[in-house]
Amino acid sequence: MTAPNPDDRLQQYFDGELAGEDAEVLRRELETDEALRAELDGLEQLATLLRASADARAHEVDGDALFAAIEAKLEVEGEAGDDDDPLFPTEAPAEVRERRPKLSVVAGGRAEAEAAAPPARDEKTPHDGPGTGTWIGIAATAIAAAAALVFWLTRPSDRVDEPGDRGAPTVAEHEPPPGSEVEDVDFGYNTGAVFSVEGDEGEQYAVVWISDEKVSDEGERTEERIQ
Amino acid sequence: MIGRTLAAAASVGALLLVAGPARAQGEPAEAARTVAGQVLIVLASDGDGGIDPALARVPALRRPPFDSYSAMELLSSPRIELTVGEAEELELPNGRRIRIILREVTDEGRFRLRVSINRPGQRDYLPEMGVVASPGDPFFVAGQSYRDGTLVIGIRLGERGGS
Repeated sequence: MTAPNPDDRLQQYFDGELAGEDAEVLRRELETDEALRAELDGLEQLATLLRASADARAHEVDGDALFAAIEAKLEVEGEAGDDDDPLFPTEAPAEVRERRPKLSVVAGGRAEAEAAAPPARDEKTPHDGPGTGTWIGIAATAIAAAAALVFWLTRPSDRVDEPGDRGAPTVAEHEPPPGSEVEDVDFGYNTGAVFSVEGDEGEQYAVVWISDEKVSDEGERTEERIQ
Repeated sequence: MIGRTLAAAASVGALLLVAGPARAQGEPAEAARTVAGQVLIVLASDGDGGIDPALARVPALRRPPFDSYSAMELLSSPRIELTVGEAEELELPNGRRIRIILREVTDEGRFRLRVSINRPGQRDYLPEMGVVASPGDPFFVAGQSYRDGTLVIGIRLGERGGS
């Protein structure tokens, strides 16, 4: 079992999915770790920009025109439809059609507030066709998506370099455990032992002790002393 | 609308421009690729020389089993600079060569190394060993006979509290 990746924890925290002690631990880390805080700020900035872009696109949609087009389409289909089929009538009787209200966009509180406010400098002008704003909105969304991609591609890697990998090693995020340990040792023709010696603070330093004597083919040991 | 959209696009652009350099400053990848260290080559013997004052800052050498020697002389203490994946070789006083390769810096910030001590073209002493050490913490290879004593080789990379 491995500890959750710090980046995953940050994302979970940002999404409000990190609860209890984990959230508290990360909150404390955020108080002391500037880099982590900057990463969280980046997530927040990114989310804000994406929301702004989506909002801008939503304002570009002309609701009245859209519903008018749908209604016109329904009427055209109704005129061309086959009224002989009683189970699937494509056109309502005339009296029903008269009672049916026209489709329209109902202005909400926000629209009313906008209508009451003085016109903004960037209000749509007659020469600014509906296509232009939409394309700019799409471009803004694409830029925001690119920003998200750059952010995720440049975040710290979880990868551990393979032996022999000449790539840049990852940067330590925590204080490493003290001491040193032998992972494996090939004594060759010699005899030896692996043990440790204690440091000042109780940490253990690895010691490999190899006798400087060769074991001959006959099993005799000959000490090699170099002057 | 256009102004708002352009402002949003400009903000995103600014974010991109700021995020790039900030990332580069936060990742000292090149600095982490190369690590400074030191190799202590010590002659431990039963002579009368006592403990070399230069070894006062290596308390591990005064603890068992090293404390069984009455004399310790620092023969040399060459400084090394290891780059990930590249071998560094030093000649020992007995004619053998110690070869050290920094394989990686772990996520914890520890150094993973391969070490061998042999005569050129031979595998006559220590063919190879793997060791992991924290910054500033040494490991030792001892046992080679030399003159009237035994060679104790200590290797240390980086500094404690950030290398």
